[in-house]
Amino acid sequence: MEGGLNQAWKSSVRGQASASATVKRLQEVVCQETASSRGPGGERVLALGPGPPEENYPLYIRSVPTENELKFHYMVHTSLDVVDEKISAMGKALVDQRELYLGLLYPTEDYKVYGYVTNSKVKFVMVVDSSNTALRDNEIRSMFRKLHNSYTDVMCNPFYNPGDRIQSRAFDSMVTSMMIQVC
Amino acid sequence: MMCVCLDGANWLTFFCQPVKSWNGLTLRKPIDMEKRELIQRQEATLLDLRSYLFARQCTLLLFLQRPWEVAQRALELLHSCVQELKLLEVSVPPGALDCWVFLSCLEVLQRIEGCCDRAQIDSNIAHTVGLWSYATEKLKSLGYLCGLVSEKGPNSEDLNRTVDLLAGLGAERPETANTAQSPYKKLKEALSSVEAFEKHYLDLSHATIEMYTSIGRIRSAKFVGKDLAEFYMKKKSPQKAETYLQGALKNYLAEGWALPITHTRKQLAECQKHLGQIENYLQTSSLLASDHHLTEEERKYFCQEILNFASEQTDSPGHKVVLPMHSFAHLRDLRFTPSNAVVHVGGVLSVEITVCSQMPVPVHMDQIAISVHFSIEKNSYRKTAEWLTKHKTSNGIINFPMETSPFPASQNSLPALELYEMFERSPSDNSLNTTGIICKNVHMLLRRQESSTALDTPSGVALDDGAPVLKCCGVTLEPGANTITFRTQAKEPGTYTLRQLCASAGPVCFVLPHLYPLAQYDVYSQEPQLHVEPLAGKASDAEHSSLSNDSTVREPFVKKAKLCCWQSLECACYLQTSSLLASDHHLTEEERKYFCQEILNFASEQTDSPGHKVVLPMHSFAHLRDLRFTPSNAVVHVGGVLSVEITVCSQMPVPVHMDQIAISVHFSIEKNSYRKTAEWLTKHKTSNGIINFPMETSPFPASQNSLPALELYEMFERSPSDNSLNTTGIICKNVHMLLRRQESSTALDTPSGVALDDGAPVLKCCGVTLEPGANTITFRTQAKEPGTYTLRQLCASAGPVCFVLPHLYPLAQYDVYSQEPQLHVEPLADSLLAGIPQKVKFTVTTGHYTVKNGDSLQLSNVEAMLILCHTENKAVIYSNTREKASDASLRVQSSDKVTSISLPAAPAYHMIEFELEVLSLPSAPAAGGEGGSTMLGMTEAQRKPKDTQKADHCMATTDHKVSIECPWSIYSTVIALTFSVPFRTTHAVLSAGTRKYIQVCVQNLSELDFRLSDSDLVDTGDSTDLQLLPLNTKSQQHICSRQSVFFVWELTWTREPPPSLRGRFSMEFRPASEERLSISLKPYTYEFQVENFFTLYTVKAEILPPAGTELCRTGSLCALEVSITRLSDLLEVDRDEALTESDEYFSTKLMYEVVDNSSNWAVCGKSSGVISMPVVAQATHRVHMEVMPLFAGYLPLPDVRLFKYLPHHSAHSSQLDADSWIENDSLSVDKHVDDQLDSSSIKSRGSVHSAASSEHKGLPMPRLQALPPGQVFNSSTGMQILVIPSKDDHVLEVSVT
Repeated sequence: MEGGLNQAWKSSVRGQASASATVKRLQEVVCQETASSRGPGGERVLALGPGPPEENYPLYIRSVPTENELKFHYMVHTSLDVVDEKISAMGKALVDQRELYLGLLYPTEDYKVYGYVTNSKVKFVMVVDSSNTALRDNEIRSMFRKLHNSYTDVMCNPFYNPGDRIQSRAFDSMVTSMMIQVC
Repeated sequence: MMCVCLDGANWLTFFCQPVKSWNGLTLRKPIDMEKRELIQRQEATLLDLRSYLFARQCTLLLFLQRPWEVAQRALELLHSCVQELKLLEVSVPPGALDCWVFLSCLEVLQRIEGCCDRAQIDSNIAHTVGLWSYATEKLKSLGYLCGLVSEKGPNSEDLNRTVDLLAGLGAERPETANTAQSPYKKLKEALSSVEAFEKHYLDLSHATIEMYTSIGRIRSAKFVGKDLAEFYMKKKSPQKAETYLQGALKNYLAEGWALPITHTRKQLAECQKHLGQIENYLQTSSLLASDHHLTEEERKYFCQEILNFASEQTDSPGHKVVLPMHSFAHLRDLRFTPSNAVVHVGGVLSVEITVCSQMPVPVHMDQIAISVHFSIEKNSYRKTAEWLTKHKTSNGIINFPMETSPFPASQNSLPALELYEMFERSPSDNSLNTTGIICKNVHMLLRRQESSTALDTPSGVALDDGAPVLKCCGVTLEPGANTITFRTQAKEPGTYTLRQLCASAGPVCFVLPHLYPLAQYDVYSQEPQLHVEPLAGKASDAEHSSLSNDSTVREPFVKKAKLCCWQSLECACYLQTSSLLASDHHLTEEERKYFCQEILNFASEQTDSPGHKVVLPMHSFAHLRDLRFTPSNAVVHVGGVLSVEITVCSQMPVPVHMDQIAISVHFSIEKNSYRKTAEWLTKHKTSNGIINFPMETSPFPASQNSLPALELYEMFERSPSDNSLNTTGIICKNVHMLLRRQESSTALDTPSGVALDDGAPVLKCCGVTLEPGANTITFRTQAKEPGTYTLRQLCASAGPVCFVLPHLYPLAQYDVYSQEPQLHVEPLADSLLAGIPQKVKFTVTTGHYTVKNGDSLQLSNVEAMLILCHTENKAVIYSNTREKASDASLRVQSSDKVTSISLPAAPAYHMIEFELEVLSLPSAPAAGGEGGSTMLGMTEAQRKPKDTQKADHCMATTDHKVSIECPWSIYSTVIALTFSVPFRTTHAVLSAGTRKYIQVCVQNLSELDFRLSDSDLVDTGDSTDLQLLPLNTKSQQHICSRQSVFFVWELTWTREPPPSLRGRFSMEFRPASEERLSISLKPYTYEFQVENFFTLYTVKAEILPPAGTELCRTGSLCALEVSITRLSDLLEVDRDEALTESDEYFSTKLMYEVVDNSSNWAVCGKSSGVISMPVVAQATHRVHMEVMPLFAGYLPLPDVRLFKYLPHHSAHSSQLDADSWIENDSLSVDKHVDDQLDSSSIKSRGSVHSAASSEHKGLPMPRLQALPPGQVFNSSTGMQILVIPSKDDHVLEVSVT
């Protein structure tokens, strides 16, 4: 599955040589959060941001308990430190074969922050409530893959300018469904 | 992590007991027996169990040397414990968990520090920093909980809470009791007072920030920094907070995180407000007021803050706050009325702008202004009213794009480069010949060099203060789009560029530092003009204009025109194809002829409709092979004739008669015309005038052929006001050719791509028949205006068919110059010789001046220079190309002051050359009139006459300045001619006993040979006592170049002693090459004076062999007898210091000296001495010396020199004993250092008088004066004596010299 995705991703990049250069520089931050403490309904936010490696601005960012959005923005932003650290620690030789999933970036008292980096250096970050024990590594991994697939679809849209904020409704609904399902 | 979520597990209830103790982990003991017992007794709380388990893990991990894993697991443990307690809904007093976490963090850290060294810890900060930051966080929340952060300090409730918390800590464990920095002590101290808390919190925060920064987790560091800033704000020290907030904001802005930016800005605004940074606060407020992430209320609040400030500060008018406009409002569009943005002087222009206010409420602005940049266009001829009104047909609306992404926001305040396109038209045909890109706001860009470090500060905005502005006062900007109209009355003609938009409310200005895209309007001034046009010709124009006004009527006209075009295009296509086929060698001769005939038929048919032309590219018809200019350097003067000869290879199979062949020419006046003088052009352009055009080898793709080549030049321009370079660029000078080519034709061989350069001046040649193959065509043109002409197009036309070669490459240019008349005067030979007639060449370059009959050159005469007038003076007139045009005679008339040369008539741009003979009268060179120098010169001459001849070859020169008045100028030309004297003359006095001879040496320094005659020497002193007897030959003497001739006279006198001689030597001379000269030349003269030449003393030296031998032998002492004889009684010349008188008896002191410079002789004993010579005739003094010959052979005698011995002071000489003087001559020898040996021997001899000599040591030295050589005659000069070798073998020396 993962291999297939990689394949599809790569081919789409190779298919448009000019586009791939732009895509390579994008970074994406996806933040997902479940806050059960707010209530049984559970809310989530997904955010995603692009930009050159130096820029790291969010392509898309969403958090479900909107009233506490700022906190998550700060958290996701801070987590980029660890993402950078992990990417640079992996070294350049293994860029192609490396695992895209970065695992747990760092735990906080209430949340767990997970990271994922595409081959084109787009970053996905997900923040989940640490009390939500239903989410294990495998679930997180598959959520990231879903996210990646959906992001690939966004990129394949000829009307989407790489680097713009993602406003795709399909992507939005996918994220929404993922967040509801998790809770 | 173990799962603790199982429902209904009874054992869990056990862990749900309320937490009563939170004293943290204990890691210092390997086993916490206390906790173990609690667990055994099943009394342990959750925290106890966790603590115990972790302590055991820690012990094991440390034992395994994995301390970093301890840190990692500790963090996980702490997080999960907190979570578990939450899940289990264990009741925990507020702050208790914070205490536990804080203590545990520090405990773990201290434990790790305890088993690692500093370096290890430093390199593993990444593992421990999480614990540090967690501890900081917990301490912060404890501080807030216990009221330690608040301004007033903790209240009673807070204090109670603190006491409860401290109680839960229990007593300090015994193992850490004596550790100063134990976690327990730290916490207790921190909670004890506000100050202690501050200290601990700051320590911890700074440590954490430092650690994060050191491992590159900048974002985390900034986040902690923000917490710290919050703390500082609570502590009322905003200046400390500001740094952290700015740092964090910079980071968020750079990475574009909108919510953190808004939040941090809000904090920063508060901070700036406290700090009283008005500008920064207003700037931040305006940013926040336009921030959509804030609530409406918040935005209104910040907007109100700005407005409050604006209304408050109206009383202090001098202070202005300049803020960038992008945060306040956005300029959407701009509209000029009239829409072409052109007004005449005094006309009214209105500018309407639409501004989108980003403020949440309506804002009243005192004034909105647009600053305007005014420039007078240089190429103002373009900007005539007609041009402007015709060419500017935009709708007058300029839209400003919204900056889509505000990231990074700091970039917005940079002024944009104002790049303009530049167009310049050639003055001759008004065609566009220059384009470029120039930057007109360099001064705004240069101002921006100093970069501001602070982020959102408005210092980056430069307000264009001095510029003229368009104003609009009292405007209220509603949220959203607003339309504002500016009205202005045009004053000065020129181009106005809208530069800045500035909205001001009180002292607050919002400035949009640059408007992009550019908005400009033009103001023109027009001279009154009268146009008279025939009505008939106007008819079509009138129709035209009516058509253009009515679009419905226009339609059919356009269609018709199009059809017409289409037909002609079709026709042109056919002709083009025909011409290609006619030149195609793959067809048969007949076929080619057929197609050729088709073209010719068309050409002859269509002659009746003259307006219609078919333009075809030439490459299919003929090929330009070469081009030749005559004159070959392609430079002609104004009015001169230039011919251009081209060779065209016709590719048609039959001879084709062309009505006309024309070359169109591009004319440009070179700006740097100072370079293009006639001389420069003629010198630098030395090509043969032939330009070869390469045959396009492959005609594929044929369509490429008609593309003109770019003519690119560099361009520099300086602003006229401050002379700073404001424009550089690369410009293209044949733009009009290229621009026409824009419309591309789809059909291949269609000729529409060929542009005919219509308006340009042309060189024409009519009625030419082009034979198949090479044809030579010559164009003639008369140059009119000076400048550079570039041949551009070649066009051969037959009837309406034109074959056009759209560009000539390589470039063929010719220059036309205009020249001022000039006069050159230069000698014909290398240098002019004085005394003989010399030829001087006059060259008159007429330039644009035509020399008429009667024009003459007026030469002012110089006394010492004659202009020799011959009757048969000839002038030669050359054309500009140095070809001889004609001969003419020249009349030269001389009067006292002026010599007038009447020039022959000569046309412009010719040269008149003629020669004149001039004669510089020899001025007698001043020879040594002074006695001393004459005497010295004589010695030299006597001794080595050859050296003097070699000495100097430089001729003496005299300059003559002639001023010449020329007919073409009111100013006279001054010309300097330098004449050299060909001879150099020296004289000498020779003696033989008392007989005297005068020798004059004449040296010829010139390159010419001369004949000398009539040499004469006369005594100009008019003394009858002296007679000069010539000993020279009477005949003419020939003196070759660089040789000398000597003349000798014997000097006799009748009265002794003879007086001084003032001699004047004169001789006739003439060049040896010319037998007879038309004029008599002045003799060459030389004057000199000789004095004191009468011989006073004769010196005779004699060497006698030792007694008993006949001949001298080497090594044996011989006697040297020197006798000095006075020949005359007391004379005038003797009266000097050396003369002493006693009882009518006169004596003088002389010093003799025997010197043998050739080392033939060894002088034994005293070689010099002073004698007292009686001043009586025939008084003789004899000196005996001993010398030893060193070599065998005929040896010359040693020199005997005689000096006058002068006492140092006459006063002394009278007091001193004469004898002691004589004997102490060692003192007097101040001249010959090499005589020291002899002197010492003298001393030893005169040892008797040593006391006396020592007496005089301190006195000044007596002086020696050489006797004038004429006064001493050495009769033994040149004598030799035979020395034979000695018989003793051991002293035999053989020397070959």
